[in-house]
Amino acid sequence: MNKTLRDLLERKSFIASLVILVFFAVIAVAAPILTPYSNPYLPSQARVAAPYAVPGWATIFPQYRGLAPNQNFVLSIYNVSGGEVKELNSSWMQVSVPASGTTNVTFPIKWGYKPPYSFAFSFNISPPKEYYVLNVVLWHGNKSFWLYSITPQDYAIPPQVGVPNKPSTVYISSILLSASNSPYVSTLSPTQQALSGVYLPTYTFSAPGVYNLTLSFNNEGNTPISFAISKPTFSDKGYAYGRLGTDNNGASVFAEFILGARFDLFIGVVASAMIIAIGLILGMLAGYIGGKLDLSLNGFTDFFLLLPGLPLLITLETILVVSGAITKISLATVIVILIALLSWPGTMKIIRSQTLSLRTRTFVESSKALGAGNFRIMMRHILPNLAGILFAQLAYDVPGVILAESGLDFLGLGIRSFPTWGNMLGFATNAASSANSFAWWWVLPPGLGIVILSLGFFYFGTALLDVLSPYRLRGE
Amino acid sequence: MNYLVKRIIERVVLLFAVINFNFFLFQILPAIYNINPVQLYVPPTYRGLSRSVLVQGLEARFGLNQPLDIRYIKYIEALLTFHFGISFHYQSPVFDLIAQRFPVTALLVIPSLILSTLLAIGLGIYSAARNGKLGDSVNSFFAILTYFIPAFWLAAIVVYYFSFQLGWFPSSVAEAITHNGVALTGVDYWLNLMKFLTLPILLITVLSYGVRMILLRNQSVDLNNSNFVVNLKARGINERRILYRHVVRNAVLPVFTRVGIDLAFLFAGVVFIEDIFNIPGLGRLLVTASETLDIPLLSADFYIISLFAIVILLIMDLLYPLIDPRVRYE
Amino acid sequence: MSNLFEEDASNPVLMINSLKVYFRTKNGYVRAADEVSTFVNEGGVTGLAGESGSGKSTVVSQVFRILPKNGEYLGGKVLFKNRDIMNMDLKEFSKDIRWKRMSLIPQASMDALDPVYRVKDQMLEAILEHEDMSKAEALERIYKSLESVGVPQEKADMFPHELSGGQRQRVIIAMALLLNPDLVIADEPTTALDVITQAQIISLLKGLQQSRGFSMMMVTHDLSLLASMSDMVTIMYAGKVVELGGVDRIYSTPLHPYTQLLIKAIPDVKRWRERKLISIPGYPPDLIDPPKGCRFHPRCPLAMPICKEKEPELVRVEPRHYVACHVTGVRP
Ligand SMILES: Nc1ncnc2c1ncn2[C@@H]1O[C@H](COP(=O)(O)OP(=O)(O)OP(=O)(O)O)[C@@H](O)[C@H]1O
Ligand code: SF4
Ligand SMILES: [Mg+2]
Repeated sequence: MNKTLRDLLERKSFIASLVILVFFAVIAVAAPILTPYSNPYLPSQARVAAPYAVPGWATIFPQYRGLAPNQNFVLSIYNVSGGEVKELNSSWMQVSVPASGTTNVTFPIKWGYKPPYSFAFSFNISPPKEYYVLNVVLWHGNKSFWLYSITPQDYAIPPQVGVPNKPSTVYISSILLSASNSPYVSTLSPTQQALSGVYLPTYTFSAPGVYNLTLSFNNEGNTPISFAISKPTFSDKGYAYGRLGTDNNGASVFAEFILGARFDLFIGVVASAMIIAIGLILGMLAGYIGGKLDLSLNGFTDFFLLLPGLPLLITLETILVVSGAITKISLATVIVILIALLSWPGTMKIIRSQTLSLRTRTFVESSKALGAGNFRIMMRHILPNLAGILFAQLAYDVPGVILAESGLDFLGLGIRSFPTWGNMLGFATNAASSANSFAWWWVLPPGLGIVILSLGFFYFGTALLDVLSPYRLRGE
Repeated sequence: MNYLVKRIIERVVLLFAVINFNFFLFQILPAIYNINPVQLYVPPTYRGLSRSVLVQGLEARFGLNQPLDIRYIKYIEALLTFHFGISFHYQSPVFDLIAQRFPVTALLVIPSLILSTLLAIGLGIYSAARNGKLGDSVNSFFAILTYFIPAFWLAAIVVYYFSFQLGWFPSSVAEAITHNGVALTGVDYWLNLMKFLTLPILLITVLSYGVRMILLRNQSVDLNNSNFVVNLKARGINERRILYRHVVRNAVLPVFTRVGIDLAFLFAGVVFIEDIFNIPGLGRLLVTASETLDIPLLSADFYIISLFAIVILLIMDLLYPLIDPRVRYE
Repeated sequence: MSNLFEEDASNPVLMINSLKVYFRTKNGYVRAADEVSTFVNEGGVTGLAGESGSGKSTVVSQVFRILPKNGEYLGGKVLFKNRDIMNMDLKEFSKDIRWKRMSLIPQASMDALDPVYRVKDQMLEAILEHEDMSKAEALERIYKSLESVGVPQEKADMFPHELSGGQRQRVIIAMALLLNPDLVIADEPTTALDVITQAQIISLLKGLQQSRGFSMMMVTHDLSLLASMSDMVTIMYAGKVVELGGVDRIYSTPLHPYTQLLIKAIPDVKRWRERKLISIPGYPPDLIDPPKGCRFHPRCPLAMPICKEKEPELVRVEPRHYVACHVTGVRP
């Protein structure tokens, strides 16, 4: 055993395949740690950035240079005019506004990118009980955008904020601003108003530079008033996101990729194990018992080889699932079982021929002479000697299963509700032909995943077979 | 027994088994699960006749209300006479549907089969001649790589770059066979159709040469260590001559068989290429039929595919003795 | 490398001197031929005998330079008519020596000939590769040659699989003699055949050798056969030549303990069908890790302490007689 292991480790192709398999296994197992998303196809887990956001690292390429990443930071530097600001603690400050006066607190924002997909400001405020108007203005050079206006709760014009002397949250987002709550948006043309979520980010953060957020506190009464306010947080969703960008729904492709890897690896190994089980039983019986049984089992296998695989798979799936005949079992399970039931013939043939050659070897002959039963011989002599071949064959079968399952998903006939490499490709190519845009970061990873994982399994199996077959020579 | 007679009997038995399996699959299995396929074709919101009347009408029309034994006889009769009935889904005769699509798929499959076999032989010889050297390793690696490239993936990428991005090829059949909205005819029609099919044909070629190439290479490597090749070397025969006249000549035998098997099954196997390139071929027809459980179309399609496969395999059986003198008709 | 056989091989056709060939395997090097030396005299027949796996075929393969891929030639000289054929340009070797002057009769087997060509075409190929002659002339020669080995002319139009085992082997002999070579090396030419055919083939070979006068190297398990047809005998054990000498010396006064056991075992030859020609207690050693010192020592009845330490050299004990043994191989 140790010698086999040593032989294996001497092979470069084996090491490479091991690295690949371990890599994907780690990804699959660690998926919940690697990504916060459990199913990016759920609407609640979409829109984590702009749709078709490129991977973060892709901004080193000229055509993606300057694309905004997702950001989220507190604006802590500010300057004041017309009043007084006192820091209460690290996040809260007190703004005092003189009678009939205006206090402007201005927070500069360094913006180094092209316009973002969306942006938002949020802060907590604890207003006085007197009447006031708080205007939120974003400006840059001589352009200014009056985004929002806040008045006390009891006064009629929306929007308004909270109970006096009690903190409440103000959230101003480019997506939520509209003509009804934003003075700036109401100055836009009706068509632009309808799409203000799209236009706002491009008008406001139109280019790199220093932008200023001014909170303008107006006191219309004749006694001084004061506000407690937290330092505002700026956040944006950008066009460059994470390790692998986003899909057409703005969901994380990285999350989809590793969840897909998890599923594909799982389905590949489980279905292959089932294929091996079927192939082993039929192949061993045919090869060991021989005679008529061999003839009929072999004929049965030839017959299976003649059936068109994919259409048969789809037909069976339609009969069993689409028509509602099977509802208790999950679609994934049905697919695994169907793939296994349709893919065993090749494996059976190999196990049969191996059994045939094992049967003629002397040890089986001699235990036969000693009167051991057929079942006993199969279990004690044939099966242990087949073990290595079975492992190799398991590795060989996985790529086939993954390709078949992916094909089904790609056509939209398999799993659609959670990510698999197959349906990622299906959605990606559909989106590509409808939007005429080609999100390489979305299309390439699942395909490469299939190819590389398959190669890993293939070379793993090949190395195993090489080492286990006694007469092969090194360097051949 | 006579080689040919034996082969024919074997193949016919196999075909008969497939026919029965199809009957089980399309007639008995739905019955077991209590599925009436025509139900799928009656719109739930159909106004006018009541749903059950419609279903009964359809059943009568397609003979689904008869007992299974009668249906079996009719089914066999249909297969023998090629009167496959009317497709549920397309509402046109199944035979016509298949007859229309067959040439399209043939136009796709046959050129790529020829090209990929040539490629496989060329590269296989290259690898065999350089067995164990870097050239062989790289070449074999790429061939193995093609086993695992999902056709739909590569096709999607290629279509995007060559058709949309670079505009070298028309991106749909419709675009290919019309000019300024007028359908092309004659030579232009065929030229443009072939231009459109170039890309899918090349793709199928690249995606399918690998198995045959590796087969040829491994056979050649094995043969290189065989007694007769060693003896040829001892006989002082020129290395190139040994490679081409002896090694490759022998190694081609299993490749020939493989080409036959591929030809037999590729007709149903180019589904993805047809899907991505929007080619109305047999593969797409079959997938649509299976998605919609179009039983007349499905069982005819399965039958035709098996029949075709068996005929091709028989032709191979017939041709094989011509290239391998060890196999005789007698 | 001085010539070990100087005194006894006056004008050898083939001279093998310290030939060393190892096979690379995943468990290490198989030392299949370790400093093997022997020779074939002009017009003579040298027998090469030894247990299965002792390296006989390895030597033959390297003489023709047709080792399998994992075989490595690690040194030694092979002279064919005084020409160094190990370092000769392979093209030249192929053209001038192989088959034309030195041919091979391989072990009888199903696939000694290419299955897809007719006998005639394969023989034609061999002739035309080496000689300028018209096809008609070549065919003429082929028919003659077939006739001389007792194969009817019309068999020339057959495919190898259509011939019986004996016929196939006769064809192969005819093939080896097609170009009238000076030296024919036969590597167990009869092993896979039935007893009667074996006898026929051997007497055919003997007859041909005598009538045509070519020199021969005869590789075999069968010592009694060598007694009747060879003038020199070389005994190999575990990749080494242990004894070599004139046939009279070897059979009347075998010196090496291994040879002695072999000669004693000759009556057992009746069991040759089971390919257990030579049965000596113990097993042949593992050639990846052969015993230190004399490779025969674990099985040797005469073994001394020195045998485990030091490898015995092949020494000339008397004219035309060489032995590699610490005990019996002493110079007189
Ligand atoms: N290609 C190879 N790779 C590794 N080992 C080999 C190879 N060919 C031969 N050997 C080993 O080299 C040794 C000598 O083999 P060789 O064929 O020369 O023996 P032999 O004397 O001709 O035996 P036989 O009488 O059975 O023909 C054996 O131990 C054999 O296992
Ligand atoms: S050297 Fe020693 S072991 Fe070897 S054969 Fe002579 S006596 Fe025996
Ligand atoms: Mg041998």
